[in-house]
Formats: sequence, C-alpha cells, structure tokens
Amino acid sequence: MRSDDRSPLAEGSEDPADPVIERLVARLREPVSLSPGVERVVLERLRAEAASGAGQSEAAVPLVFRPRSRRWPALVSAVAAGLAAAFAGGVLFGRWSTRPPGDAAGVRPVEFALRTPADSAVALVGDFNDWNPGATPLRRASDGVWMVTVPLRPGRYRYTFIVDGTSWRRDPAAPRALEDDFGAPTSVITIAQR
Amino acid sequence: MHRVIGLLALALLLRSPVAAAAQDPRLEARLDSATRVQVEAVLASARDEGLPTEPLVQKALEGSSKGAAGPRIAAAVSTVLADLRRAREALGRTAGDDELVAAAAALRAGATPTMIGEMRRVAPHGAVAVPLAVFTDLVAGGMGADAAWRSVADLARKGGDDEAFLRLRDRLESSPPGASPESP
Repeated sequence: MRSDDRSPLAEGSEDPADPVIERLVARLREPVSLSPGVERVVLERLRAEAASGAGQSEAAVPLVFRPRSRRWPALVSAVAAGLAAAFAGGVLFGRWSTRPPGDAAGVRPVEFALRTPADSAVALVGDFNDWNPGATPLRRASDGVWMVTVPLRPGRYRYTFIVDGTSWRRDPAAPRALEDDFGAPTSVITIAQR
Repeated sequence: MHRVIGLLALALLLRSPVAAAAQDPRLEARLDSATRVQVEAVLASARDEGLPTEPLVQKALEGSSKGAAGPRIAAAVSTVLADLRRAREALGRTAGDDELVAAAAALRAGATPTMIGEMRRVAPHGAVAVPLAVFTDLVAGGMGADAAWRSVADLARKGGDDEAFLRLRDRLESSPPGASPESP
C-alpha cells in the first residue's frame, strides 16, 4: 500500500481536524449530570456490598475472570513429554521393533528331555538361547530323565545337550543336524506353523 | 531448525541396522577381537545383500561354545553365508528368512537349486520351509537324497500341511532300514 492511498480516518492527528468530528468529541467530553436519586441508589448498594463482604467473594466475581484450575493441561503436557522422551529413546537406542511380541507369534512350549545318570548336571544350548550353557538348565525328573520346556516360535533350530559341563550329547529322539561344523554332535528340531 | 535436522539425522544413523548389528554385544562377549572382526565383515556382507544375519551370529556363537578356534569359526560363518546366497538364488528375492535357512540346509543335504525351485511351485501356498527341513532331516537320518525328495515332493503335490510333513518324517525315520518310502 502506498502512503497516498491512506484513508483520512487513518491519518490521525497529522491532518487538519474535521469540523464534524470536532463537534462530536466536544459533545462526548461534556460532563454527565446524574439525578440525585440515581447517585443515592448506587452509593447505598456499594455500602451494602462492602458491609456484607459480597463484593470480595469469589462467587461474586464474574465467571470469566475467576481463576481456573489448569491441572489437566499440565497432566497432558507431562504425558506428552513422557511419550516424546520414550519415542526419542526408542529411536536413539533401537528399542522400537516391528517384530511381533513373543506370545503373539505362534510361540509354543517345546519339551526337551535326556536320560542320563541322576547325579549329572544337564544344560540345553542351541540357536534359541545363543548357545549359552548357563541359559537353560534341565531339571531332574524321575528315572534319570532330565527335562526342560522352552517356548519356541515356528522355525528350525539346532541344539544339543551338555552333560556335567563337558560332555556334548545330541538328542537321541531328534534328527541329527547335517551341518556339524565344529565336530560336536548336534540335533535339529522343526517347529511347524499351526 | 538446523539443530533439529541434525538430531534427526543422528537418530536415524543410530537407528540403522548397520550401527545396531556392528555393536552386537553377543559377539563382543564371546569372540576374540580378531575373530570378531572377520565375523562382522561377513555380517556386513550379508546385510548389504539383504540376507539374514541371525543364522550367522548363531553359527559363531555355536563355535564359541564348542571351543572352536577363531579361524574355524570365521570359516564356518562364511560357509553359512555362501549357503544362504545359493538358497536365495534358488528361491528368489521374496524368500523369507526361515525359508532361506531351510533351503540352505537342504542344498547342503544334496538338493539342487532346481529341486528347491520346484518345491516352491508345488508346495501348498508356496511354503517351503518345513518341506525342505523334512527333506534335510530324512537325508541326515540316512535316507538317500533322491528317495527323500520323492517322498517330500509327493506329499507337497498332495497338498500336505506342515504337520503332515513332520508326521511323514517321523514315520519314515521309524521305518526299518530298507523299507520303501511311502507318502500318506
């Protein structure tokens, strides 16, 4: 907008005053005279409110000016901040995953058993526990049978037993794994989709 | 604004599979540094080619638990990667991880890429993981590769489901030596 396009009303006091506006302003500036009756009624009401304290009560304050509790926005802010922090942590540390949770991916309990002398200690190692000898110990059942139940998703797993921490034994009740790259006996189990 | 973009780029970099796999604590805790470098190089190749890395990690951990020497572990992991490559050539790029693992084992057991491709065509819904695993199990149990393949392929053409394949294996493995394989 160019400066010479401004309307007269927008120019304010920079331009000479319009006679009509000057008259209106003078009229509005004239003191208003109230009748003595009106002044008395107003003063009486003000005194009465001051004596009862109603004029300072919360209830007398118009609703639009009453202080309001803002607790829910604070709660929402806290939850939003928590979600943002969790998301940021998930992104940074790789905790988000598209992999379904274990109990929703067709997991089924699979029982492993081995018959060996009762004074032994037996552990199960395989593709399902990172071949960790301490992860899945078997419990002694009866008649020299050692057992453990492992939840497994459908798939093909290689595994073996470790007896007394030193003796590697494949499962006599399961197929032998062909890919014995390290010379110790290994079995294989296939879990089918239901 | 530049700071926000920088943080997002950093988050995406840290989130990437390359960064996550290169810092696999399982390998760091179980392999010596020289072996770990070799194994992680194989893992990087697998990732670049879109092949699953978990079978490679498990092979390395198996070797560690069995007390194998580092070079032997690295060689075994490389062999698994080669098997997975052959499996994908036979099954195509749409093959799932379970299918690739089963096909790699079947190829080692004596199946040919042509057989693997045929199983993809004849198996119910094209699901080959369990049929190929059963083939491998039968060969490992002493059955000839040709006879094992005939049994599995016949059942696939009849529409057998996964449980049927496992029953076939159990029945054949309990058969007396020399008994002729027979599909249900």
